[in-house]
Amino acid sequence: MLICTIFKKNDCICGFQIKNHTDPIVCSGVSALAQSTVNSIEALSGVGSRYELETDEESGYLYFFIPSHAHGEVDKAAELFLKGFELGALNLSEGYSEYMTVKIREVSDYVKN
Amino acid sequence: MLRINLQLFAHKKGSGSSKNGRDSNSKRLGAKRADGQHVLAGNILYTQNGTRIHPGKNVGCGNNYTLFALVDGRVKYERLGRSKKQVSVYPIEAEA
Repeated sequence: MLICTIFKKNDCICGFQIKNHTDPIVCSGVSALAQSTVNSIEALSGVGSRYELETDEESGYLYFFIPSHAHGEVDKAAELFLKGFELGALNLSEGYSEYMTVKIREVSDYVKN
Repeated sequence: MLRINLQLFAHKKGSGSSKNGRDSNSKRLGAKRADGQHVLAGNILYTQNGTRIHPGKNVGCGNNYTLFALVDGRVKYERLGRSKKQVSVYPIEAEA
């Protein structure tokens, strides 16, 4: 079961974390969604490359976090991309609930595990 | 910029190995002449391991249980008792 955790602070999305392996079809959907969100934020928003990113193919892990969002400096374009990611992830988890689940986590600062 | 990897969360299927996959060469056993077929003396009728089919009239059995015709004639596969089979060769004039 793939677990997608979306980090929020005061209803503003700061990042997300995806871990565990899953069904190949769902895996490719989530991979495309997550990695194109990261690429879009880097290329098309004011955040640029000021974000934290960790991936591990072996264990199936991706962690993405924008510290400035956690400190209250919210970039509109980045927030829009992250809302799009949240929408896509929720849609995917509705359609493939046995393979994927989405959790929302309120963060006070940039906390990951 | 990330290079998109569509298999980032995919199960990595290990390539297992199988202990099977061996077989001996086929020995081309079985019937070499059909029922009612005309044969000459010495023609091989049936190759087998052991006597799946027993030699009948005018049929010899080699040391590897190969059945062959002893006379010219027509092949006949018959029952032998309740559960066995035999093959015989009947000379053509004997049938007339």
